[in-house]
Amino acid sequence: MKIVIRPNFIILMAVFLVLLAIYVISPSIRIPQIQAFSLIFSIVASLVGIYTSRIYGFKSTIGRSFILITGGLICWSVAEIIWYVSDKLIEGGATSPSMADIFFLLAYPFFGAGIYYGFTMAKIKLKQVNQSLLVIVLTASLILTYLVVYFILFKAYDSTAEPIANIVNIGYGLGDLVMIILSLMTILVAREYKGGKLASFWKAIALGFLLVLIADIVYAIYGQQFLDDMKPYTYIDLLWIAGYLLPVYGMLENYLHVSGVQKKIKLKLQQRG
Amino acid sequence: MEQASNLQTAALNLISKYFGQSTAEVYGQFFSGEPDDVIITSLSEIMVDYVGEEKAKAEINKMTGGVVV
Repeated sequence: MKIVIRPNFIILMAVFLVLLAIYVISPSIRIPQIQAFSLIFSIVASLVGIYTSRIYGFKSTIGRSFILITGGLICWSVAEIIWYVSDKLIEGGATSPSMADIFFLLAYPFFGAGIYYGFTMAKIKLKQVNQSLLVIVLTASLILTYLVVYFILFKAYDSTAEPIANIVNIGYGLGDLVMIILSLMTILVAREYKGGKLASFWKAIALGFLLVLIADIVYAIYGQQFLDDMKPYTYIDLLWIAGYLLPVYGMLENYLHVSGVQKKIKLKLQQRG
Repeated sequence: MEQASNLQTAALNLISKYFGQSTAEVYGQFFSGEPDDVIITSLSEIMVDYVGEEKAKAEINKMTGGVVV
């Protein structure tokens, strides 16, 4: 099997390794520069999403899919901005629930709608999907569902907390359950385009979602250690950042491919005169 | 103005579906006046690269009713 390593992948891996080195070397992640990483990469993901969506336009199903997924990324960017700014302005740091939580949760319907368009467009015939792949994916989904229900949803309700805090916490748990379904759908869509460039986008989205899910589960278990700035728990942040970097990779690859196709055909038209 | 053939229209719809409207517009100019075999060859090329061989064949077969590919 021929393995091709794309330049964009190498660049993003290099960025990730630099971030990893910073997290390892830095004695604390509670410094504004490190806390800004999530914010910066969420904005990068949104901008790349907007740029890529433009090349497809809103008229086509694929364009709608890209724009809605970008909408989800924009919601996360807004949430990151609100969280970062309030953390720096409010004495004692950002609190939860806040407007940031609303925007974090608002992203899920956008992701859901975008992936729904991608899924319906792929017209997947489940009977034709490799049965081993289906078993592996379904087993992984069931394990993740168990972990989300046990560690996030069961712990979400606190009888002493404000109703809004309970709604937000349960919302995150439900959002993670939605993300499991969306990851499953994206894996099936990626499989449908096996061997094609479009598959790289869906694979990147699936992997990004899975890393965010794993980060959420690990945070639910070791959240206090993370908040106490203890290593290696602070590395959970890197999984969330990877959740932004992977869509950047998937979208960039597709943008470059489609713009390359356009350039080639324009060149042929020029040659024709 | 030259009338677009049914095959040309179907090919442009398929390009629009996967590559978006702007790519379909550029291909609209390229396909204009081209014979069906050139249209099918160009379409197959970009579709295989983008959606993979299996899906490309299925989509183009569906488009042509299995006649050409």
